Amino acid sequence: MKNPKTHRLWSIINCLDKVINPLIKIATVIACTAVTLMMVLTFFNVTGRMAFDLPIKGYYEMIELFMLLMTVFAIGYTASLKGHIRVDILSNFISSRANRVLDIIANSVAFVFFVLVAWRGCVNGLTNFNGHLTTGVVHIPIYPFNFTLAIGAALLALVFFRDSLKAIYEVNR
Amino acid sequence: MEPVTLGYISVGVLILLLFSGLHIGIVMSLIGILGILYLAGWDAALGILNCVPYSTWASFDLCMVPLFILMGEFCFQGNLSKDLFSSAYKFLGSLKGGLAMATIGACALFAAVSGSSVATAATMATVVLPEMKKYNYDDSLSTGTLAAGGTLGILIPPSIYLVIYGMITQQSIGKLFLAGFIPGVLQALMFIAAIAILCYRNPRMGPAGPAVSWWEKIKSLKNIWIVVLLFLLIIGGINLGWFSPNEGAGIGAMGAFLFALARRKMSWQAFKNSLTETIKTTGMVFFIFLGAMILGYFFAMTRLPNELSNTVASLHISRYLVWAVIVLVYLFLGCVMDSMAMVLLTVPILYPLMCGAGGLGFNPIWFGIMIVIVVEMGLITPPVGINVFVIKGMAPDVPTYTIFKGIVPFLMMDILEIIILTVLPGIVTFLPNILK
Repeated sequence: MKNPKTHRLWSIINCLDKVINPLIKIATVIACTAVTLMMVLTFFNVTGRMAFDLPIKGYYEMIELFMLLMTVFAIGYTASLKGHIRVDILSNFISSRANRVLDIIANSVAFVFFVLVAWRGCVNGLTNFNGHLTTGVVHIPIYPFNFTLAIGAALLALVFFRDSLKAIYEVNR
Repeated sequence: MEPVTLGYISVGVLILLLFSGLHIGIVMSLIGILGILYLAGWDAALGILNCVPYSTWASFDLCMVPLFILMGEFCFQGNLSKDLFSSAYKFLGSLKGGLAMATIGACALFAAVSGSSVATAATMATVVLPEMKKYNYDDSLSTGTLAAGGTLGILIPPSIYLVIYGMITQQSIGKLFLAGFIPGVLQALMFIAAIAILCYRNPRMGPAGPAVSWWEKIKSLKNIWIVVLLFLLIIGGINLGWFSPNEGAGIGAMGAFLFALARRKMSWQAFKNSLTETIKTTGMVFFIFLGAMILGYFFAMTRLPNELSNTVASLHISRYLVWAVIVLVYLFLGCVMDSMAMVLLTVPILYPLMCGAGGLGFNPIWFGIMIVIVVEMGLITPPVGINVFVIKGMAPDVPTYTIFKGIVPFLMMDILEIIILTVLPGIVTFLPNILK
């Protein structure tokens, strides 16, 4: 007989999966596009500078913005694959249930941390929006990238939240 | 509580939490944030959360990390490993243990276009393992060679670890790349010597292959032109001032992409695989990087690195004894911790002690190379030697114990190299000095 509590938990996890998986796909596409553009931009900046003495205007700041797009979403992608590094030496010596409890703690701490990062990203975005802050050379507004960081961190928080729930489900099953 | 006392306590808590199975990046961030909160209050902690994630993830200086990873991925997709192995095998295959020696040679060549140890080990394993099986090579020799050969990927430039060391310590990436070259080649030669000794003592471990004419050998060199070209372009371009290391990484990635495209190996799927593998590794690195940056701010506030440096200096013990202890600590950490995390965690603390003003006076470039060699050992020491698990994944029928057994001679060579480079540091600093 199904335990109604765990059944409800599993439904929530399924719902979260339906939200997170497409978002991770979008994040992956953005990160892959950003790293490709970084490569292409760098190549044309160097060849343009060396061959025609024509470096790309704003190259430095564009690379920074692409870096942000790539890293923030790449971290989410890696998290979705459980690719972030943990020292799991203790896990060999403790029970499977204790391992799940450690998973709950690890994922919950990560969830709280990225909620904080997302919150501060939003605050920064609003500050930079009101202050009309832009990059130095080509005057790209900074605030969309602050909000992008917040979105990336929120996605990460969501991934860790789902993983916490999964670990809770495993413990209660 | 004195800040420095808090610093020492936080190191203990850090180690405890790391072993509890929390994500390394999170542990470092958490300790850093809580420490800053205690020392400077809520506003300072929020200030760190405001600026550090953005400045770390949007760092121009760090863009070479994903670009060098991408270059290695493109080379992998371009099937370069097969050609490199084929060339190296033509030269070394007729010797006892020749296949294993050729593997080391091919790993060293692949390392020149890849900054990743895992990529080097994985890419070579797909080519070499079937060959070694065919020639009845001893399992411990074949798998041990691949796992150890992969470690050359992070010493022979370009190397992601050297980039990260350079970033943390503000050392010239170009000089670090130059400095890694001779120790990398030396290490490859020492690994080959280890194989020769093993196969001399027990010829059944690695039977000799058929002899190849000199003409065939010379003809096979055509396979390695892209490695020579990319290597010279990147290292030469950076050190001659044609472009910055970041730009060198972009040029290298584009060069590797065009090479794979020209060889008709860059299908849409291969391109997507290269990109997703790149972002996966990048995501992993930058997650830890964020933690290292936040922790770095906290340690700077505690003045722990400086205090540690002053304390050790006041003990008036030989600096080589301190270095030996550090090597032992790294060997221990290498057994339980990921190598990248080890560098990010320890270098900010140990660098002021080893190379800072009032420290032990070691050369910063030398220290960077030595750190990479010591960390390399962590990639192949039990129980978390990542290269071992990569090879195990590709040779599931070989017990993990056999792989670790095969690694022992190479670990001994690593230790021997550390001793040689400690006694003769000029081997490391020679190239950066002549191109000063």
